[in-house]
Amino acid sequence: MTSKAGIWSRRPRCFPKREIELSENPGRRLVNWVKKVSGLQTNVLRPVPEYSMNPFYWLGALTAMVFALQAFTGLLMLIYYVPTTDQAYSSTLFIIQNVPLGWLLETVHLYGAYAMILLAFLHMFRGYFISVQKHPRELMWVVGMVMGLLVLGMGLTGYLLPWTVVSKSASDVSIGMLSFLPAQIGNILTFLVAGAGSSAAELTRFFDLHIIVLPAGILSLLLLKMYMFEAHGPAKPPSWDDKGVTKGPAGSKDYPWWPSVYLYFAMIGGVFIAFLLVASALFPISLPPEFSPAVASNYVPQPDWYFLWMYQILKFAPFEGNGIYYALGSVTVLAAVITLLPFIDRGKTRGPWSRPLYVTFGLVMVAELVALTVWGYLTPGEIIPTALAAGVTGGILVGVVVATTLAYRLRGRKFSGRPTLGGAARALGLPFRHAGITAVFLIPLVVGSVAMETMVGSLSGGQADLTAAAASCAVLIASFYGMARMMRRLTLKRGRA
Amino acid sequence: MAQAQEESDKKVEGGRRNFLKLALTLGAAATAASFISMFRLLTYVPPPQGGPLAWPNVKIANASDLDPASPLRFNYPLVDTPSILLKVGAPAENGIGPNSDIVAFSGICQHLGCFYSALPAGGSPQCNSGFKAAAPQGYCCCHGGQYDFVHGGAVISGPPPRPVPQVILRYDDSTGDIYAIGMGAPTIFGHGPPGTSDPNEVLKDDLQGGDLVTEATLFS
Repeated sequence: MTSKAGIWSRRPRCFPKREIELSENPGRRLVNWVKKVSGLQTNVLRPVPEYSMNPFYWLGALTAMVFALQAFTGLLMLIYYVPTTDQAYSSTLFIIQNVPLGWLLETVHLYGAYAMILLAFLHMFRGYFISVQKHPRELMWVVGMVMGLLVLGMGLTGYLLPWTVVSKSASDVSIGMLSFLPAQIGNILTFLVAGAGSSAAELTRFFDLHIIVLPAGILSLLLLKMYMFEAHGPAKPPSWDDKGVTKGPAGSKDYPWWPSVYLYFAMIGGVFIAFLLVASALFPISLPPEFSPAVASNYVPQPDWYFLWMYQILKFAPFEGNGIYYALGSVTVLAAVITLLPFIDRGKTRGPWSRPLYVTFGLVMVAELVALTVWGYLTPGEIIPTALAAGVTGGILVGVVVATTLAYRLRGRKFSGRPTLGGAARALGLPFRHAGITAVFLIPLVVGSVAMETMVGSLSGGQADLTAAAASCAVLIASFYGMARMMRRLTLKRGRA
Repeated sequence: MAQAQEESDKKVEGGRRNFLKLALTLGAAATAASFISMFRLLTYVPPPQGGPLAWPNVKIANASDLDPASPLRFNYPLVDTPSILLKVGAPAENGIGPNSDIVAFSGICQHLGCFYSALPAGGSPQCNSGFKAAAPQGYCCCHGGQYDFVHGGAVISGPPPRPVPQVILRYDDSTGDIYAIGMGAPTIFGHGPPGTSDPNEVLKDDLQGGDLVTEATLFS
């Protein structure tokens, strides 16, 4: 590969086969023989550019590694676990209490699941904010989103298997949500994932989903995604793409997989597993009581942390009764929007500073997710009144929008060096010098907030006023659009100045 | 001569290609048809295991043993569907017994299928010690759904979209025994489409796929 051609114009399909030399050393001869007959002497994986030797580029790889770890610990647990309603709990307890190091096995599997979900979320949001889904990685994004849903499915199905009072009740709630789908689809799905209503069928199906169906799905999609990754390589830093840079700074190069990248990944993977093991050894799990209807009725089943945001949304007063359709519907729409992001966010630029609308939307999403999770954790079983629900979610929305707008203005101003208090003050003072546009900006902000309050209010309780909801939703969208346009204009103006 | 040979080759080639296309299309169609027919497998609703499609008729308790302060939990109509029997202390909708105050309800919340707790008057659920029930009622700790046991399981507050189904009871005047003889509408949550009220559909959906309860499995 010549430096003149640039690293992106031509990529070697594979390194040329190296001639294996015969050696007198028997160990070396064995290694060489294996290399030769297995084809391992050809390094087929794409070399890794210098900029991606950075842990942020390896979040997906770490997720895949934890997936392998989960398969390993899961298979070990399968030796003892019995998936029947009368033995699921006792066999899980047996692993924890009697099997040597069984407590560590269970804990590593649980924390591994947490790590996998957390890494998948981080992987997605990192990609979201630097816009990795742009051409030619549209399909990689969609496949990744489906994989993310499957990973959440793994968490959901695995949660039931120990048959504790919390996990069984929470699983029943999630199955219950399926019944709100259109009648026939809901019935078939419920029958497929949970059976016709008996606990035994529910456990058997969740077990099958957890150990066969979902892992097989994740694995196939992982292969598909790895294949696409090999074709397209890691996304360049967004600023490179936006400035049309194809080549890194002088001296930066591509590293071959063997030995540099293997060593690098072994290093970050090793550190990660070490953290997982130490955390598991320090904080081993203890099992909640076994499930029985009598015990269940006195428990507040909470889902695991990664579903708490959803749990909290369902406890909002406006989503009581038939309002649940709106809650489930909007979450589905949100998931669909993020999945189809590459076909929605079609701008050419990738840098966060040139995509104020999407970055603001992403930050609002992150802030709401975190807030709802914490809030859901703190208020088990409590119904949140409409005003409070709208106030907190709306407050976070407005807060993040105002903060990002200010940040974009601060950035837009021509000021060099690191952010200082003076710079921030100047940015805060800016609206006063542009009183006109600030006033215009405030109008959609206020109108949008009122519209949101009206929309949520008109959906409350059983008597939903659909006309009012649709009207206020339209106003809300219009005001958002107005704000987005203004933010865009402001930032672009700054950029040009 | 050579040209004629070439043309005839082309014809044969074209014939072969058409045949292959036809075979491929037919094969794909047959495969698709066989997959579509599997849809029936998915929509098949298995009948109840171990019994006919009829409500079990089981003796639950004797009226003299009922304590108003502690509701009795029993399985009905299937082994996996808990129900609650209680004496509410005042004439209740569909109540039986000397004072028409004995009622029973499905123990599964109509919101999202949690097993809720039954509170006697003055009782409070473990999840909310600040709450005191004014009259016997159901309280779901999942999302705070509340059911009025005096008024046929009507929703007092919280997210449930409809009342909780009532167990149809029969009272034997001579012995004081209480029998469960059926379930009222709507369907028990998680069994068939929620909110179904046609009695035949309720019977079919409530009993599908599970084990019918017997006196031996009533309290298991």
